[in-house]
Amino acid sequence: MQRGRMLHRQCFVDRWLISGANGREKRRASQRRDNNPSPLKSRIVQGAAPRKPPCKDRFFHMSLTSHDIDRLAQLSRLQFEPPAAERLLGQLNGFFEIVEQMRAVDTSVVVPMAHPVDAMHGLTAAIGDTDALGMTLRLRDDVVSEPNQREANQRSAPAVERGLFLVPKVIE
Amino acid sequence: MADLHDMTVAELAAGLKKKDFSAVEVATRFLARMGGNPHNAFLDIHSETTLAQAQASDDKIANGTAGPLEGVPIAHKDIFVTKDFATTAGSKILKDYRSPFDATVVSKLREAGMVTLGKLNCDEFAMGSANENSAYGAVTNPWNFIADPKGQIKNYIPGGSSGGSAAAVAARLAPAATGTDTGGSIRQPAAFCGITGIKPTYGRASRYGMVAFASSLDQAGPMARSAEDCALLLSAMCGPDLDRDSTSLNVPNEDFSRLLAMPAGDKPLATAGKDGGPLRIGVPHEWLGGGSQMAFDSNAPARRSDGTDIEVQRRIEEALAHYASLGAELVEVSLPQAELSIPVYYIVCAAEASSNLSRFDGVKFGHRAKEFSDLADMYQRTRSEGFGDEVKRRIMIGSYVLSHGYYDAYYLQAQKIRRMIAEDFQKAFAQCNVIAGPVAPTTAWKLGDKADDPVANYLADIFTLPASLAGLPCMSIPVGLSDMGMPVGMQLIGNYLQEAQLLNVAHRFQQVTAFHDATPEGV
Repeated sequence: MQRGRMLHRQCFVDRWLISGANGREKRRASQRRDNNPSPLKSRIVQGAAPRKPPCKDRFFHMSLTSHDIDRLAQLSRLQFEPPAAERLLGQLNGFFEIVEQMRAVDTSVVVPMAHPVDAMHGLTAAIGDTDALGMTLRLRDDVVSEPNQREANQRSAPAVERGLFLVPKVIE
Repeated sequence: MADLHDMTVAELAAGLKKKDFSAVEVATRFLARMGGNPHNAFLDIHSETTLAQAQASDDKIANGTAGPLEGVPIAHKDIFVTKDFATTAGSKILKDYRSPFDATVVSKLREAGMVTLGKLNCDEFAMGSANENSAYGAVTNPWNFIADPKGQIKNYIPGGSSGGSAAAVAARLAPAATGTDTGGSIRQPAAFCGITGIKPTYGRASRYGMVAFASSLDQAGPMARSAEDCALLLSAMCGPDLDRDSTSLNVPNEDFSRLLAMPAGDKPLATAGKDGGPLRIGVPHEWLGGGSQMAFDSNAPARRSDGTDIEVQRRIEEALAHYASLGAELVEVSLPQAELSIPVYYIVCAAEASSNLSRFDGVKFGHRAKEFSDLADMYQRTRSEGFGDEVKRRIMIGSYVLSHGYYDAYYLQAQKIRRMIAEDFQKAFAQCNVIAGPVAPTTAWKLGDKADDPVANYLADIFTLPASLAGLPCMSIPVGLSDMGMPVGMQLIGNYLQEAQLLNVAHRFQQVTAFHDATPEGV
C-alpha cells in the first residue's frame, strides 16, 4: 500500500464523516447548505486539489467488531480461529473505509441497476432497437430440456448411496 | 516460416488449411513447451486427449469438413467446466472435480475446430488481481522472469484473475487462451503480460458452465497475441444460448473480423467514425487529464518511489498521439463517478459471490470435511477448509452488505451508483466512438508485494471496474514497456455491442506498431 494514497483516502473519509456520532446529520445539513448533492463529484470535475482536512484521529464510521465477525461467519457458514478472525476484522474495516465515500453520494432519484442488460434498455439511438435485440431478462419455458444424468452428476459427490446424496442426520 | 509456437491463431489456421503442417504437429509442439509446467500456468494437462483432438482435426481437414479454426490449439481458464479435464476454479474445494458437461464457450470453440491444450491456473473463483489467490500456487510473469529452482527470487505477478491464461500466451505455451473478466480479469493480466485481450458486451458469451463468481458481471473473452486473433476467437465463442443462460443476449452472433480491414488509406482512422468522420477517441480527464487524481495523483508525485505510474501515463499518451497521427480525433470526456467503482464493485461482486458460493456445502460436489458433529458443523468445516482467504473475505463482505439493516446503505446504494456510472459512459459516448485510458495504474508488481493487503489489490482495479459495472465491451492492447521492461497496456472501451469497431481500432494500431509482437526474453 502506498502511503500517499492511504493518507489521502483516510482524510477523504474523515472529511465527510465529521467526527462524532452525529456525523451523518452534519453532513446532510452541509449538503443542503451548499446545494451540492455530490461533494465527491464536484471535487473530481473541478480537478481542484482536495482540501486537506484535519486528519488526526482515525475515525471509523461503521467499524465492525469481533462480535460482527462471529455473526457474519455464522451467516456465511465459515469458521475463523482467533488470530485469523482478528486479521479479518482489520481487513474488513480497511475495506469499509473506502466504502464510506460511496455513502456521501445523493442517489435519491436513481433507480438501482441490478444488471447490465437493464442499462442497455432505452439506448436505441446508440445501439439500435434494444427491445428488438432481445435485451430483456427472460425465463425459458418450464419444460424438461435435459436428460437424466444422475450418475454423471453424482460422480463428484463426496458421499452417495443408491443414487442419493448422503448428509449427516438432520432429524432425530 | 516462423516457429510453430510463435505463430498467431490466424497464421496457424491458414497454415493448417494449406496443410503446411498438421494439427498433431502443432499440438505436439505446444505440449512439449508445456512440459515441466513453466510459470505454473497450467492446472491440468492430458496429452492423450489433446493429441486425439488434434488427430480428429487432421481428419476433418483431410476430408474437407474443417471448422474455421480447425486444429488451432487453445487452453481454457480453469473457471470453464470441461468434461475431459479437471475443473478446480483454482480452489481446494473443487480439487479433483470433474464436470459432466462442457461449458458453452468450450463446446463452441471445439465446434470451430480448436484443440484443447489443458486448463489454466487462475485466482480462486476468479477473485484476485495477481493470481496469488490460487490454491495451486502463484503464476509467474514471463517478462523479466528469472528461473529460480529454489524459489528465492521474487519474480513478477502475471496479473489476475486470468493470470495463467496471460502467462501461457506470453510464454508461447499456447497461441490463445480463454479468460473471464468480472472486474478486469482479462484486461489487467493481458496488460501485465503484454498480450491482447477483450471482454465483450455482457451477455455476448454464454455463462453456462462458467463457475459463477458475480453473475451480473462475469463475462468470458479471448486472450491472444493480437486484435486480429481476438476477433477470430470472439466470433467462435459468442452467440445466444437462450435456454441455458438467462442473461445471454438474443442478438445474432457476428463476424467480429469483418471491420478489421476497414477503412484503409494513409490516415486509416480518418473515416472510421460511425458518421464517416474521423474516429473520435474519448479520454476521460479523470484518468489522464491535468486534474487526474484517481491514480496518477498529481498532488503526490512522490507517492511511488519507482515512478512507474508516470511511465504508464507516458506510454498511454504516446499511444494516443500515435492514434492522432493515424487520423483519430482525441476528445476529452468525463466519467465523474468512476472513482466510486471500487466500493461499488466490491460490494456488488461480494454480494453476488456470497450467494453463488453458497452451493459449496460439501453435499453435491467438491470437498467435504472429514470430521464434523452435525450438518451445520459439516458445512462450516467444509467451507472453512475448502475456501482460501480472499474468497472467505468476499463471502463475509457479501453477507454483511446483504444483511438486515445494511442492505439499503450498502448493496442498494452500490446498485444506484452503478447506474450513475453506466449513465456517465452514455454521456461520454455521445461525444466519442471509443474511450481510451490505462488498464492499471502500474505495471505488474512483484510476487508477494501486495499479498497481505487486499485493499491495495482492490485499488489497483480502478480503471477496469467502471466498464465492468456498465457491462460494456472493453479490451487491452500492449503499448510498450516500462523502463524496467514490464509491459504497459492501454484500455479501449466501446459502447454496447460495438466489439467489431473496438477490434478495428485496436487492429489499426497493431498494423503500424510492433508492441503486440514483443516477446519476453528467454521465450
